[in-house]
Amino acid sequence: MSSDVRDILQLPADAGKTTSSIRNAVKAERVKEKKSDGLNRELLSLTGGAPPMVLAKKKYKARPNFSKRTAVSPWVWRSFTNPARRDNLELYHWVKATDAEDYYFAKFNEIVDMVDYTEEEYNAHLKDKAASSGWTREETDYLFSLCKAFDLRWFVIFDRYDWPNHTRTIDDLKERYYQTARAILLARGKPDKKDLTGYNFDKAREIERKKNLEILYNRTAEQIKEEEYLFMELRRREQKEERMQREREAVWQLLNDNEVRLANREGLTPIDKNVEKLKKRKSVGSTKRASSEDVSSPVMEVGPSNSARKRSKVKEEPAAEEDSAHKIKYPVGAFARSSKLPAPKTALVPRVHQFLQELGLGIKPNMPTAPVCAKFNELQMNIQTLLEVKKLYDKVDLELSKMRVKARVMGGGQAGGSSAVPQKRSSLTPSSAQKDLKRQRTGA
Amino acid sequence: MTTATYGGDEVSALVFDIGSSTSKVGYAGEDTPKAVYPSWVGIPGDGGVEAMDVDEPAGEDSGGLIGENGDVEMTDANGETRKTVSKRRKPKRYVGETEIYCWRENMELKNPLKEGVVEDWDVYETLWDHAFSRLRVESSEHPLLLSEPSWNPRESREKLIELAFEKYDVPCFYLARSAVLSAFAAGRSTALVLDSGGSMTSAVPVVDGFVLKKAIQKQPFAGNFISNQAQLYLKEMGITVTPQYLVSKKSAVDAGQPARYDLRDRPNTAPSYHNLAVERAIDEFKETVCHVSEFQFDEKTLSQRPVKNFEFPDGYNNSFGIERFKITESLFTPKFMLQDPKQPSDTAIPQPLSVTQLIQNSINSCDPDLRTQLYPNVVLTGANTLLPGFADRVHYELLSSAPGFKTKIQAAGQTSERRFSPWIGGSILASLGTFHQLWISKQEYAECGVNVENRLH
Repeated sequence: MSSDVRDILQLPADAGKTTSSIRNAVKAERVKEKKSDGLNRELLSLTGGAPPMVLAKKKYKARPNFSKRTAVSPWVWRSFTNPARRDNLELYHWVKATDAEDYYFAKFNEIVDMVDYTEEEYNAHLKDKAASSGWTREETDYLFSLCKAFDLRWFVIFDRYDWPNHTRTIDDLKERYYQTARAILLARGKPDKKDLTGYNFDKAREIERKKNLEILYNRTAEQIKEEEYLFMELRRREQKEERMQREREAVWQLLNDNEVRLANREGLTPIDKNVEKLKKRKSVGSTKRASSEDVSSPVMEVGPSNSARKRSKVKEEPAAEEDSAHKIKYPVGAFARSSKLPAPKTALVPRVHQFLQELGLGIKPNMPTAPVCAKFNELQMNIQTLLEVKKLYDKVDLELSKMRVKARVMGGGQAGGSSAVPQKRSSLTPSSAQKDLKRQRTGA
Repeated sequence: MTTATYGGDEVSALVFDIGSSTSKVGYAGEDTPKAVYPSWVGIPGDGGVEAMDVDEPAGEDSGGLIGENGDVEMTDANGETRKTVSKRRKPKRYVGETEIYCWRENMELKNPLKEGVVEDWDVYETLWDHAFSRLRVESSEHPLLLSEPSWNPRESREKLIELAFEKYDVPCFYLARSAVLSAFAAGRSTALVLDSGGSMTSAVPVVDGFVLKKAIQKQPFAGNFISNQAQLYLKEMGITVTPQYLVSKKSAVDAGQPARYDLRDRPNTAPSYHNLAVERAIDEFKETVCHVSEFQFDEKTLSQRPVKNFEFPDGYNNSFGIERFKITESLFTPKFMLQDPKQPSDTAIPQPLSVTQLIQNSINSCDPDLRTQLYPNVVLTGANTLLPGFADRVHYELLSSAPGFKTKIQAAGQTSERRFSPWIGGSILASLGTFHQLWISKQEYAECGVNVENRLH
């Protein structure tokens, strides 16, 4: 029949073989996989191995077999008595016929384990104390019966306590019960301290505690709000202190790092980058917590307030802003002031250094106090300006001499001073340069 | 065993909750009562004596007639001689909505309860009879759980126990405080239950399934009081309410115009019938129109609220704005209460406490340790709490007057849950497997008599 179907569907006659060949291939793969020793077997099983290749076959569901079904379990309307009851009340309920006869819920009848006393025990251990405490035997009995009836639920016991003309509070009742129980336990034998811990009742403390609770409950909304505010404030301050502590540690770290860095004067170290990052984050945070930063301690000034100082400086000297290479960058934390002197233009660095050496100065000031650094910076700037002007002058002079030569060739004019230019260019000493500068100024 | 998973064990118990305005009866284990009917009994003008000797056809209708379960054996354990009339020879009584709302000449309507406590025992029995006939069960075959107000006095409880065992011969019986049942229905065993139903508003603290009697706060200002206030407000506005039974024909009139209707001739109407009919019309008005201000009453903002239209049975219709809020405000701001001008001033009703004050008084008379448990578990129940805005207002006021506590209001969203919560709690309780040890059995009653009341805490 299947061949007919294949005919109708125009499938090749041996289509079945292809599936079996696939199966064989899968089998072979599996065998191979098993043999492969590239992966540990346990490891492979952990990864779950290769996904299984399942050939889904559409199949009709088999008809359920009703004949084999087991019989319905019978339920019966049965009377029962509850062992938790003292009488034998018969009630009826539906149960599975196979279920046990004894009542399932009887086991939930929990009875509180409480100390009780006998006639003799009372007479022997409690009678003499009772008079002083203001409790009679009858009233104690009554209290214990209530305790039993309400499973030591004190709120309920106190609510139902209805001894004639009594003025007892819930704490009086508790005290009486626990004292009595303790005395009985002690009299019965030496119990462990542990066993008695539940029977320590300090009435005075309870009263005090409840008084405090009352005070707590009677707070007004404003008081609660204020308290919440104070609490929040406290937490905020604690957090700030913690942050400050962290920053202080970072500063110390930086100081140590800087000493190392000064020795081998390199560009930005990774720490520097970190510092930059830290600074950025801080500046974002500082706008948020502007008010809180105002009260920051002197240590904090090293960081963000420096940047603030920088900002004001920039405002005062817009000219400095133009020269981006000379922009003074202050890192967070402590630093060596001399390391923050603006470096001259890279093209001019060797010449500026040479100039400084000629003047008898080092590359950096020896004593980098603020005024010295400022002066040094000024000097460096002047040197740079001078060098640039000199360069310009040389260029113009060269141009001029060229023109002169041209004019002389054309007009056969007189030659004069043309040889001086190359001579001067080579003599780049402070004195000559200053003279040049002076000359230029007067010329201008 | 399936019982292990849900703890239920059905013993086909019945649950009755006879409230001051409606009675709810049904089978334990179900989620709503099978029968709900007004707690009013109609007594024919002649006292129903005529029907005495008539052997009533069984089940003529499920409403008014007492079922013929006259095979109750009179066991007189205490030499009780109260019952001399057998059931079969009981005078005719009308119970159920269809019966008592139907006009009958000289039919007197009686409510057996006063402030939730049974006053008229004969009438009260009729309500029980009706319950058994509506449920179509024999009282001697089913355990019976009955709800009672938390302030039910000892005598009343003893009498109920006696009634159940002597007259109805129940196999076992239990009396449960309705506040406890409401707390159970809300899924908690410790709660402060504010029950505002027909006649009474009460705040009852429940701890571990026990009512704290000393902290109960109650006052007779609830649904009926609001209806009364509504009537006074309507009178002030010059609106007289004509009940449905007096209107034979009415024609449409514009809003605010006097009604045009024909009076129906109803001679010899008992005043109690007329009063109930008027009350029903006003109840409808109240339930449709009235609203509780969610915040402190502020006439300016509340008059911005949309008005609501209402048509009275006689065809008079009008829209109501600020009155909607004013009528109910006396629950929360007692000075809004209107005094009946007809009433002499010396017998004037004392001003009620605000509902919130009631809750707070109740909680504050509890132990300080308990208060933190009660404030987050304020359960609202009773149909009067269904006034829109009621729960919001209680919450708002508790928040502002008890700022030191976490306050939470548990108010069932479903109307039926709020109306029937004591019944639902009873239904849960009576179908619990662990509860069956608490029933008072016939044997216990035979041994101790009514003193068995001591066992019900």
